Amino acid sequence: MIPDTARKAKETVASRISSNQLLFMRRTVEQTIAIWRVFRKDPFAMTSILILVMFVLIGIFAPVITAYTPTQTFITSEGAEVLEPPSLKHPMGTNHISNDVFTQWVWGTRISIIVGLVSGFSVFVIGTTVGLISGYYKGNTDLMIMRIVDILYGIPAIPLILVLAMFFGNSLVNILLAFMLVLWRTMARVIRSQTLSLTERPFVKAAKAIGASDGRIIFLHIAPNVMSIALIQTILIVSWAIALEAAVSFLGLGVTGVSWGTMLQSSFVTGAIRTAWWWVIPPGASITVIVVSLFYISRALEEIINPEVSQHQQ
Amino acid sequence: MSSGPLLEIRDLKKWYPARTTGFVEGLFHEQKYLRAVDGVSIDIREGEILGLAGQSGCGKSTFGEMLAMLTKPTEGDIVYDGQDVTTFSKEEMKQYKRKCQIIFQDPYESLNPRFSVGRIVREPLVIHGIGDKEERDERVEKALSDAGLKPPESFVHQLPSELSGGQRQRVSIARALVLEPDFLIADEPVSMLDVSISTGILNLFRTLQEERNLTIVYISHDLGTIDYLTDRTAIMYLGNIVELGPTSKVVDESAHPYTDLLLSAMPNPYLTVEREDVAMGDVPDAIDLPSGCRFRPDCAYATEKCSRSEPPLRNIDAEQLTACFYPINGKDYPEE
Amino acid sequence: MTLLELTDVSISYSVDATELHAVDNVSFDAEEGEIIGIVGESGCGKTTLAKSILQLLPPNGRVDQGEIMWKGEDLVQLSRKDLNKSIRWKEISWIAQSAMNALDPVYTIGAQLRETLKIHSYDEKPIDEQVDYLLKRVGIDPGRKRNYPHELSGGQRQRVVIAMALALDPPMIIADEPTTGLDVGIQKEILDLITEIQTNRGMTMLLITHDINVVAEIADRVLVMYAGQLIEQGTKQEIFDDPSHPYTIGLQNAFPRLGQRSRTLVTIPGAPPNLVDPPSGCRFKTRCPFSTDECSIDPPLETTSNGHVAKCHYTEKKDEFQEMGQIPGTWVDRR
Repeated sequence: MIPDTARKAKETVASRISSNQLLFMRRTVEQTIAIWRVFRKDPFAMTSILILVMFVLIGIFAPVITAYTPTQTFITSEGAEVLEPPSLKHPMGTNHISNDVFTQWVWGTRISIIVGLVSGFSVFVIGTTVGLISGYYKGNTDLMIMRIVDILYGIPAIPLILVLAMFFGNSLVNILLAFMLVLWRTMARVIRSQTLSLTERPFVKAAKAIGASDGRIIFLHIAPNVMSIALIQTILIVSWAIALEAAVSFLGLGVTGVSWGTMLQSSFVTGAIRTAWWWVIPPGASITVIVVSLFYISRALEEIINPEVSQHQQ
Repeated sequence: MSSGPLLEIRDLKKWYPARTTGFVEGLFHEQKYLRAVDGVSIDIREGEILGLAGQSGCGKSTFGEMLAMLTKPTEGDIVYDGQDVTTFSKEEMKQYKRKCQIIFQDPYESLNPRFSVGRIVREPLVIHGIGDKEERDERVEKALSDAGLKPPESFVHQLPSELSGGQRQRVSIARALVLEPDFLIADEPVSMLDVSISTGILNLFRTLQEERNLTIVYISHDLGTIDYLTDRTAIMYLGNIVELGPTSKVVDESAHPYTDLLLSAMPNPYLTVEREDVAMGDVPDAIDLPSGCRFRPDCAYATEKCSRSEPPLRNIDAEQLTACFYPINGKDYPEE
Repeated sequence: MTLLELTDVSISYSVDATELHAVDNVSFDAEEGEIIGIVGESGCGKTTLAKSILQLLPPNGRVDQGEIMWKGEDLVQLSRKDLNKSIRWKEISWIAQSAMNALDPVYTIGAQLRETLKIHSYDEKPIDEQVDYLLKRVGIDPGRKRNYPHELSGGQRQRVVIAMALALDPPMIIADEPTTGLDVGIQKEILDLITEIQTNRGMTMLLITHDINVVAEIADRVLVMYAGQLIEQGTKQEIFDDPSHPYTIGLQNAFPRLGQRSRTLVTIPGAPPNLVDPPSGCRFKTRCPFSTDECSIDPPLETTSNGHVAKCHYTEKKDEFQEMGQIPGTWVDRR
């Protein structure tokens, strides 16, 4: 009798544990398959993901892919290998001081990826938190926060970042700090409006009724429901940040190292922009391609989150 | 049964500032208020199912939310176990929530779509730090079971979207029960469910009352379900209780003209009591209230006295109260 | 005169990779001047059936078989263009659920009524005159046509929607849950209005609802649907006084009746079957306390009296079922 009950108890416990994990795994797998299906249907999104993955890999494996360094010069007895079109030795040619363009482009990729990811992540954290708090508490808190956001909105991004760069000097870290200071404004607004409508929903009232604290409600109840929008917005911010870095560097106040923006800046400043196409196209095209890819990915995500949006019938 | 009532509510009010129609008008006129609940006093007895009925806009939902302290009253007292709930600190309020729980109308919106059923029902225990993991799992399963979701293990991992409306409502009930409260406020719990499913929920309330001596305040505009389920009923109109008494008396021997009107408006193929067929309009706004009795403009029996003063809620016999100068059930106030 | 004839109508939806068989072989007629109530729980197919009449099904739904004859013409075969031109609003109107919330908030109600008339090329009277007339007919002062929807009460908005449905004076109106979610006072208003209009004009009406009491108030005939099938049909009197299908009997005993509070209500155990893969035989079989092995064979529509039919093998036992159906113990979960 007793061994029997013990065995049964063990079985029930085992089945409970496994069913919990099983269900979780099954759900995750189902969701991944659903996401995969959406991307497969959309060739633009598929290509975009592949392109993005490629860029990230290039950025990660920069030291492995490149034989030279970005600032390495090539001066031989016959003279400097300046402004040379693509060749076997320099697959993307050289720039005005004989740096290998390919190497510069690869290391520039790394910068862009870092800028994108760091900006995206920090904006995600700051913007979402601010938006949630503003939308949940409403009243004076909301008023104050939104006034700050309005002020930030009033200031165009590039001039503001230029000013900040002028004050704090240009380096990758300062650029990132400047971005973080400014770019969260859109995220805050978007999340705030989503939160405003979510706080009115009965499940939030129900959470209050069972005694949940404000913090619990904001971060455990409401936040998961804004994650999808936050994700899409983050992707857009990433693309914005990459383009912004290039713009700021192009204007000469960007990073001190080598990035796509500085490459474009150098080519412009030296006047080679009209003739050395091998110097201009890699960074220019890359920026465009990344921004467009991120856009298509965000579109595909929108489709996943709101499938009705694309079903345009009747 | 304990000596006194479970809850004593004294002159409870909830006034919302009404938006003035214009800046200039706002300067020269005094602030107008939407008097959602305008001075309600009632005792709620332990172990009873009290029905709170009325059309939309009468204040019943607002009243229910104030009882649960989800909305702060503008004025008035709610005395529970000798203490005035309206003056509670944050910590005391949290403790109060263990005693009083609320269930909402919309089964599709009152559950967080991203939480599993188990997590939803477990959360109150987590918030109040009750028990360890094993104990909590046990209590969750018991609550689900008590709410009619059997076997509970099969529901614990489901998401709300995988359940029917009736099942979701039972999850809400389980969540309310897991803290083992003394009383439950049910705000239109079945009005969004198919009628054949709502019966199960109504029977569940009755079982909970019988087995746990749970006190339930059942808010609804449907007098049919109120008649079936409740022991006493309060009829609300424009923020006031206009009639209160044992449900059978309120329905069969209504004292207030509004109660009669409400009953005659219900579609009823099994009419047992003949009623006059009177036209019923929309409930007016609780901002510009008429002088005297609030119901006077729509009342078929109104006299001049009704426009001069507001009739108070008074006993016309030991158990039934009404707020009307001319009760229509043939009874008279004892003093007069 | 029979205006509408549905014969063996089956409708299905394509969902993901499967087919949901929402309506299975439903037939009924509507005579001129009748109010027909179609009752059933959510998911029973009543709204789908009604929508199919005016080709209002979503893109993934279609009528698989059957005919919907309106005055001798098959509406299923009609092209969308012809349907719009000659049937919609001229012959048959539609009042959607919660339609009062669907009034455009940025246009006055007069403008919206005018638009309805214009779209359907109304030319019998000057449009403004007709607008006034329609508002009067639903009990709204024509002076209010310059009001916006939010300036009207809920009941008034629903009246405006009814006015819009009446715009071209159609012989038939289909109303999808016209009182669900409405306050009991407004509900009465609307039901009274519908009854009045119908009496005055001899209009035919299809009323779809899950609230059996509403149907009891105003319908002449009642159709009870379950799991996509028509399981009982009869006059209001017959359905209420002499329910012949176990499901109808169960429903009757599941509704509280005002003034009869000592009645114990029953709960029908279980849930309606999955319509992606509907069971063979009687679809109510698993929940029915009276089912036998014979119920694995699809029951025919048995006639219990003139025009009163029920889809059950045991209609002759209905008196017994009615008695037993009142006892909650009968409805025990048999799973």
